Amino acid sequence: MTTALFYVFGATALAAALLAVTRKNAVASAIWLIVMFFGLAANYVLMEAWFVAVVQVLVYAGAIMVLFLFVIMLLDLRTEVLESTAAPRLPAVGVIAALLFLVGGGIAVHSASLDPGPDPQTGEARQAAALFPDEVATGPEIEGTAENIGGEIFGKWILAFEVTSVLLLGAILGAVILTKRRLT
Amino acid sequence: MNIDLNLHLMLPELIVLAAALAAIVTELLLPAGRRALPVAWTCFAGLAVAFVMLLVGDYDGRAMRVPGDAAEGAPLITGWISDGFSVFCRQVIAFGGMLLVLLSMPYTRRMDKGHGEFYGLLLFALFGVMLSSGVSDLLSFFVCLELVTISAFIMAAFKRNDLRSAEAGLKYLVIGAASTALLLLGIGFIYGATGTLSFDLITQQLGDIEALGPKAWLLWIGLALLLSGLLFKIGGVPFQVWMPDVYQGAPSPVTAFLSTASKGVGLILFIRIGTALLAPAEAAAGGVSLVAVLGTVAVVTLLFGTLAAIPQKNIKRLLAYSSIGHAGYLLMGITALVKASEAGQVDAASALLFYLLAYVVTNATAFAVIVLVSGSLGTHEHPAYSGLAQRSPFVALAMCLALLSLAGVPPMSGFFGKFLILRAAVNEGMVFIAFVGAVGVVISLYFYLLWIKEMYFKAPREGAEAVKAGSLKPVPVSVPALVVLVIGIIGMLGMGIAMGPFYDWAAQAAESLAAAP
Repeated sequence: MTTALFYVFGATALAAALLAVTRKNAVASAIWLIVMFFGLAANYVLMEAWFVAVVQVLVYAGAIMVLFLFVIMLLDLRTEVLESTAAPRLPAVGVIAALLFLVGGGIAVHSASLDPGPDPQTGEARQAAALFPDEVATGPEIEGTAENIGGEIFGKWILAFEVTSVLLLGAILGAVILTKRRLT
Repeated sequence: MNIDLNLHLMLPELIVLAAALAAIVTELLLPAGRRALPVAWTCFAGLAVAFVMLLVGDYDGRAMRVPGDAAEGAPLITGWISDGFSVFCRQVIAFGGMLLVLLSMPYTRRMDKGHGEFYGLLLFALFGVMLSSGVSDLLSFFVCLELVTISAFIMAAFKRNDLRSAEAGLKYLVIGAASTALLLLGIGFIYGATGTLSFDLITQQLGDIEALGPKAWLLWIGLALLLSGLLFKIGGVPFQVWMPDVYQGAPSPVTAFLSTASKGVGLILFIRIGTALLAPAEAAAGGVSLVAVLGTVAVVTLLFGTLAAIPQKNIKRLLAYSSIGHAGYLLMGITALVKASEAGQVDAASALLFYLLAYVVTNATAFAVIVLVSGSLGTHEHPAYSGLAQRSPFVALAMCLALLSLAGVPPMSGFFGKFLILRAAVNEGMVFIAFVGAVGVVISLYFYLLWIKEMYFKAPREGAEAVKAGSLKPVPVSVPALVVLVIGIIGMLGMGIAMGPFYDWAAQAAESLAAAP
């Protein structure tokens, strides 16, 4: 059941992402992006990452998308403007990334059904390595509640968290520098 | 919860960070017009304190490992270690950062506002570079790399009203974002295959690659994507397209940053990843050969950089292509590092570290000259350099030595950098690659010597449209820039003539890398 749902929501997110980058109308793009965020959030729920799923909806699908829509509204972007500024090289990058993703995804799906062969040391037959088993097989089993995630972020991953905060401060400085009306 | 972070090992970085914050606040407290110098000297002081601490203090975290923890150099903070290698890199970067602040001073003096932001971002980026030398898992790897990259995006577009600078920032942002996406996808694939982010645990799984079954292919794809992200940072083909335009458009001190610290972060992470992941992966791989891929990229990058540099008439574009050529040499060293067994690995790593040291000093000197010349003449085109030796003999001498060092002429430091890397390549049996490297030196001599001819054997031009009035007067040299030039000349000649102690220093750092599990 979980696996089936994963594919449903994953396909939704992929299709929505594809639609978001192909729409000519900026508002339509933004709305498809929201659909993609919801698809991702649903997958987070399937992985028992409750807190991340809620944050995904609140921050990305909520706050950030509102900002996006406001910016689009204020800029009053027209379709022809977007067409004339489309970069010629980006489709190629997209195609390469998509191909890599498909190849990787194909291997991931197939690896569930392939037999890895006998163990070289003991000679015993090994279990096939499944990427999407019904039950979570590998990794520490932590339920994704706010408490657990807080403990992980401020304990084990404190360095990455603090460096990220420096990064965000730099980004704020950059936003001020690049948008302030008068610098000199 | 009891967390002992052993933060004192990170104290030099924290001082750099504090200096960055102090610079931003200083800007706000002082009246306009009197901000430039206090802000800059605050940053310089922070970097100097960090450098001295790293030089005299004992920051080798391996001696402090937790009892009972078998792994030497065990992480003290998750995802970060402090070993001899990281201490060496942090020393080089802190020293290079001091030179960068000094050579920015003649430039920022011409700005009315934004000093705090400029130096703050520079120090944030340097903080990221220094931290990146100790990363031991993919999460801190990514975060440190992004801290450097995002600060660099903003700094490249710093001269907002200048079209070229804005273009540089935008181009860098778009291409950088694409490469970040590839990098992140790669980390995702590796995590999907192994279920861990730690270099050590991934290496363990590489040791028993059969157990992964078909998922090993996910690991290979992940590593390939990871490589593309690093190639973007050091400017390897096919991720070099951004370099000429960004180098040309960005403010000169920022270009200096891109060609020293930002390139340094790519190299440092390449050495880390190379010993921690790529070398075990190469050993584990049956049909896939990373050495073949890396070697091909190295040769193509080298030839592209040196051949495309020949027709350049703008000094910053020239140094951009030269920087791509140098990325080719770095990749040769990395190929040797990945191919080598343990002893060869130390050789290759110490060659790369010596190269880093020589390259930072050389480029800082060259860009100090560029900042000075463009400050007096307002252009980077080659007429600005005509007859420079007659106008300002000392500035011309510094530029001449820097170009010779970049070309790899003995007895300059750049010669030994290239020589050591080619030697490491030959030791690993990659004679063809070393041959291409030697040919590259000859080609590059041609275009570097063209610029030296321009400076020494041509009369100063007047009336050329690009050059404003004053092309016959000497280039004014302020004290901080003079310090950079003097240190640069001493460094380039000193590391060339008496390379022994510097090489031993680098080799010592490289050994700690091989000692890590």
